[in-house]
Amino acid sequence: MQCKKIQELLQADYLDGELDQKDAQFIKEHLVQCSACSGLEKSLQAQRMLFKGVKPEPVPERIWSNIADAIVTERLNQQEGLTPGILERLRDLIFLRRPAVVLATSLFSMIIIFAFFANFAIQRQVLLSKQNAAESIAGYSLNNKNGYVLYDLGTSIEEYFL
Amino acid sequence: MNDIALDVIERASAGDMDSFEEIYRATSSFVYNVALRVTRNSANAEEVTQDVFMKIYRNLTSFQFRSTFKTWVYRITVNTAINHYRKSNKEEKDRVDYDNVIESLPDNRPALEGISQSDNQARLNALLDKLSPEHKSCLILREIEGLSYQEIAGALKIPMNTVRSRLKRARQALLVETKGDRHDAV
Repeated sequence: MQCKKIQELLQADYLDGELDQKDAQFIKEHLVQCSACSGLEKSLQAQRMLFKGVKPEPVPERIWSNIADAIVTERLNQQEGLTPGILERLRDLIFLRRPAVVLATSLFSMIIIFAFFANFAIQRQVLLSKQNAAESIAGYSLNNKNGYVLYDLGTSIEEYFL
Repeated sequence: MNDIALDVIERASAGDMDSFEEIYRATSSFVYNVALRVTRNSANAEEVTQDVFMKIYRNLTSFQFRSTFKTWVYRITVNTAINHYRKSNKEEKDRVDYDNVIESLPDNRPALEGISQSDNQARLNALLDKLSPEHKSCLILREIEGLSYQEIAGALKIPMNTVRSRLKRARQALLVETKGDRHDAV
C-alpha cells in the first residue's frame, strides 16, 4: 500500500476504528517504518485530544419550561381554532371562492334555465298551431267513393301548397 | 444517547406530556450540545434545542419507525442547527476553502503536542468555526458524540463514503489551522 493511500486511511477509517483488523495491522507495521505517515498519525491523535477534553455542557432547565409552555399554548390555540375552522370550511363550501368554478356553475345554470323556457315556448307554440289547425280544418274530396278525407294541415307551408 | 422505548414514543405521540418529558430528558443533552458546537453560542443552542423539540412534538404522530428514533432525533438536530447557523451567519467568505487547504497540505505535518487542556474548549470552538457547517457537524457527531460512520450517514442522510470524505477534509483543514496557530505563536 502506498503512503498516499495509507495517509487517507489514517485520516478517516484507521483513526475512527472503522478499518478491518488485517488492514489496521498492516498500517500499524507501516507506521513503524515510515516517518511521514507516523508524523501524520501523531498529529491526528493530538488533534483528537482536543475533542477528548470536551465535556458535555449541562442543559439549562429553562429550555424544558419554554418547550412545555409552547406546547400548552399550541394545544390551546388548536382547541380555540377548531370551531372557526369548521365555520370557515362551511363558508368555503357555500361561497365558492374559485372564479373558474363560479363561472362554470353560472353558465350551467343559465343554460338549464334557458333550455327550460325554450322548451316551454316550443310546447306553447305547438299547442297554438294545433288549435289554429283545428279551426281551419278543410275537407277535400280526394276520392269520391270514400267521401271526405280530413287532413290536418299542421303547418302553414302545407297550406301554402294546397 | 440511548434509544427510546416504543411505548414511551406512542404515549408521547398520543399527547402524554410525561412521556414527552421522558424523551426530552433522554435526548436533550445530545441536542443541546450538538447545537452548541454548531451554532457557537448558548443563546442560539437554546433556541435550536427548543425548535428541535417542538418539531419532534409536532411530528411524533407521523414518525413511522423507518429509522430508529435516535437517528431521527440526530437528523432533526443537525438540520435545525445548520439552518440556524446559516441564518445567523450569512457571510461565509471567511470560511476555509477546503480544496486550497488540501493542496497546500505538506506530507510531513508537525505534531500538535503541548496543547494546554485548560484552553481546549475555546481553542476547539475557534477551530470548528473555520469549518463549513456540514464538515463541522460530521466531525462533532464523530469526535464528541461518538457516532459510528453508519449512524452519521443515517443522521445526515448521506452515503458512508461522503461521511469518510467529510471527516478527512475536516481533519485536514484543522491540521492546517493548528499548524498556522503554531507558526503565529512563534
